[in-house]
Amino acid sequence: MATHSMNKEVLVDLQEKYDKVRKLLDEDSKRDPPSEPYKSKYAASVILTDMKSILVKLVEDSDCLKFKAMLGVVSLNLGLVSVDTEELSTGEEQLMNCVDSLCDDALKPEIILILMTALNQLGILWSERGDPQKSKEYLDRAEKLYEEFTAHLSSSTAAVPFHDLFRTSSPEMPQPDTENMLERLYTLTMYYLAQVHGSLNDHVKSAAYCHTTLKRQLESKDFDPVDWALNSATLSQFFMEKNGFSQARHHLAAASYILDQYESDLNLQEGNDETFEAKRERLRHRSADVARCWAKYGLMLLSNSRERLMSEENENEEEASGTSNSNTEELGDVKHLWFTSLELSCYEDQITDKHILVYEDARKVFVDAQKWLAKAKQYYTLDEHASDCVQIVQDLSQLYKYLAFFEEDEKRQSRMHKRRVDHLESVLKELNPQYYLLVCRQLWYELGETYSDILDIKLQRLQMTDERPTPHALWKVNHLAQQSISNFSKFIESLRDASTKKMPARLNEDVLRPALIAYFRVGRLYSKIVTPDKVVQLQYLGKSLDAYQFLVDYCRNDEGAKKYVSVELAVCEDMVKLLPLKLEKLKHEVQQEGQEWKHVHE
Amino acid sequence: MATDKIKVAVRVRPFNRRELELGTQCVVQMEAQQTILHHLERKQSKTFAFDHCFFSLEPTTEKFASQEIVFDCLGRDILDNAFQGYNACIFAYGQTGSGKSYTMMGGQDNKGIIPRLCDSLFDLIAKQQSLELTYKVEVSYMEIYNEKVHDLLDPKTNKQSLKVREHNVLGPYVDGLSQLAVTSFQDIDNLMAEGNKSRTVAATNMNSESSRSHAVFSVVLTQTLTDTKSGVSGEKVSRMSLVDLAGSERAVKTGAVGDRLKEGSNINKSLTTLGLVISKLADQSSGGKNKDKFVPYRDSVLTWLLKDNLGGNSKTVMVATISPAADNYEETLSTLRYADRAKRIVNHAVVNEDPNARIIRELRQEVEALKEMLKNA
Repeated sequence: MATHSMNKEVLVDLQEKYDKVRKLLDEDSKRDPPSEPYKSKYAASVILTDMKSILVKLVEDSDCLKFKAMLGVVSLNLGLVSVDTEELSTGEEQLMNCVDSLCDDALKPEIILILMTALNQLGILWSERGDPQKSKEYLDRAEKLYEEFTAHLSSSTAAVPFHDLFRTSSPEMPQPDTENMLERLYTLTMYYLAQVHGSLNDHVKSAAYCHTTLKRQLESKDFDPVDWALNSATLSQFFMEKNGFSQARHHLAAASYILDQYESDLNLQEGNDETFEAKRERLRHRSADVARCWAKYGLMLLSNSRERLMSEENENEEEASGTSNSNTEELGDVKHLWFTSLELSCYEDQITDKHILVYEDARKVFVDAQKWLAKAKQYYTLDEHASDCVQIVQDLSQLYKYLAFFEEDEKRQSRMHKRRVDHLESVLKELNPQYYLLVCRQLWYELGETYSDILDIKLQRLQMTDERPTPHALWKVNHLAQQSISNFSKFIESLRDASTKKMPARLNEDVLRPALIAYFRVGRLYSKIVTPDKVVQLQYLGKSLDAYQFLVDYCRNDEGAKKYVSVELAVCEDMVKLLPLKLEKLKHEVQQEGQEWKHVHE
Repeated sequence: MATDKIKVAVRVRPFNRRELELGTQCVVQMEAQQTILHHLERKQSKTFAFDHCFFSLEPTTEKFASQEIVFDCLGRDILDNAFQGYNACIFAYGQTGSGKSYTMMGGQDNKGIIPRLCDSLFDLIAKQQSLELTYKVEVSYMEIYNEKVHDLLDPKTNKQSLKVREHNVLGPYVDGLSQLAVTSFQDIDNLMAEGNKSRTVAATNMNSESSRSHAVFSVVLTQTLTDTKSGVSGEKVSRMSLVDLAGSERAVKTGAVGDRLKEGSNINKSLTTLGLVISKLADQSSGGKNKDKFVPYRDSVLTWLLKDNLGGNSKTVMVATISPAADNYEETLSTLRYADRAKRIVNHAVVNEDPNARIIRELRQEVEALKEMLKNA
């Protein structure tokens, strides 16, 4: 054709222009001064507009696919620049132009990359406008497009990268790896869909897309191992809250697998410089975090299992549904979230993903979680990471608590609670309350509850036997009650105003209920102390009454507090009416005994 | 008063000369504890509630919040807390030109929070010191950039990254951070100026992907009370931290956000934010049982700083500064949203109690028993 040689010139011109545009957008724009942040982008826009008019004519003259594609690339880039330079409406128009002009040829290798990029970008644009639903439409389209394209894939239909469209001769240098451009675009589509579903409050779908994003990162081998492992472990925490224990365990196993691999790689490297040390430190830090996620998995499995058993007791269910998780799982139909390329059985085999029914199984979970906590504690030491260290100890205490639930022998139960006391007390005494006041409060409170739990076990045992309790048993009961009272009291004392030393007239919402419950518990505990001495009995009864009275008085002064402790308040109101009468009776007895004694000794 | 939450204040500056010349519209309205942002074209407005709304738009109006008023509301408590031996932290957030520097530092004739704080500090010390009661004031200045901590006052080591630690007895501290003695605000001002020179240059290039550099200036007050008879002395140490938070700047809009999650339903373009998205997903809880899962911190250093200043008897205040101008609408909205989110940061070390149904049952039985007993008495 006569136009052939002219076309060649035109094409070379277009290639040069495209190269210029790329340089402006990819390199120069990073160095634009703060006073003219879009200088390079505007310059690129000018060239692109020029290219557009040339290509529009070419397409008109010869409806050739390649020209259509090139025009598509130009429209796409014009759209991208407009969006970047805050002209959203223009950008949208240009992107829509691009999409509409190409959708008939959507599945052609020359077109697919352009279209996917444009659709992804429209997804971003609409989400920026606050319309996640519309955003999702474009992203869904991109997802479908990829699926259709790859379904019909054959070796000759590799997607054509943009610059290849503009190339007029064979490249002198080997091109950068553009093969995976399609895959990278699709991974971004997945990631954007994860976010959009989050905006639409479909968190399960969002998690599924996050999983897919992680999976694709694995497959493309394009990821930072520590980040990846941390992300997988974090995602497991989402799954386990939805009762997706299999999925949670799988993601934790994947995290450990990747970290172990990375550790081996690091060990092979040599180096003592700061960067290498920093890598090791980061690995240690995040390995400790993954360990904590594993421990939380064990804890949640135990706590869920306990809840299930307790609610079954209440409903008198006869079916033993120990093997299936499905009736409580909340993942719906997005259950198949596996990293099929990884061999994880040796990690997954270490702990079950089924609900626990019997002590032996609980113990296995306990031992596994305990091992993970010990590992985490190696990094999160008390003198460098005090808060985290305490949280780990608190987790250990919870593990013992749940284990005790599955244990039937009371003596062994007591011992488990005693282990809790030991761990909590040993960390508490190392903490400076000036800096760790809130944490100390938590510890005092838990110690109060734990001593009280042990007390209740002892009291139950005493009630079951017909024999008189031994002095030692009574001493034990009193000791436990006193310890419990002491800890609850320390909690209460910590709420006093620093300067006036008085309890605040209005308690902060965060501590309101715990504080009132602490008084409630103390009231009850005083009544558990056993003593033959009636005078002492009188004292304790008085203290018990004082504690109940505080709760009643506080609620009288603060109407808003009632709803937090309505049940306890009702009991306390009865107590403050009835206890004074009991006190009177006791006082009377004490006086009588005193007179009798006098008579005897006169 | 102990509080587990951040106190959040927002301040709107007056129009600058350019804005006045252009006749720019004001889109910020403040009523009591509410700040309302109007959008001129879309005719919808967004309302935010804060602990303090400082209206500094027009000096002649009655509700004008002067430097003195701002200091009285925010600074006095901080100082009182310090003398009682407790820590405090002020975070300043705002984009360039929103009045952040003016609020924090101000000028010779209209001093901002920091100079007033320091002046009052040295005043009180001069008044209160005696043979028995002596004071020492030291300062440190560090920068947090890309999760690394640099000492801005030590020219030798400021390239090195320092470790942040939480010691069980000594509390939170930065290992190796230099602390210099000062005796007046002038000393402090000089040190801050020196320190500013060492700040990471890349951080100020707003086209850079990770332009997130926070500067933390700390004033450590040590009070020593000596019993002259026995010679025994006791010490109280408190720290006031002033954190200059890296603002989102215009970098947000050019897409170079780096590691911050975008507000609202905006999509984060780069896969580097995947971790933050997953964390947010895992964090949103189904049932408020916070302690049942573990979501690892991403923004460790800043979170550590925040965490340790929340709760107990520490005070934390955030001051966000905004422009009144219509053409800064996006930045203003972004700042207000940031401040709004800050309100909801609570130290999660709340007390969880075990259910006490059994105890209640037992006590109810006791009540019945008591009633019986008294009937038969």
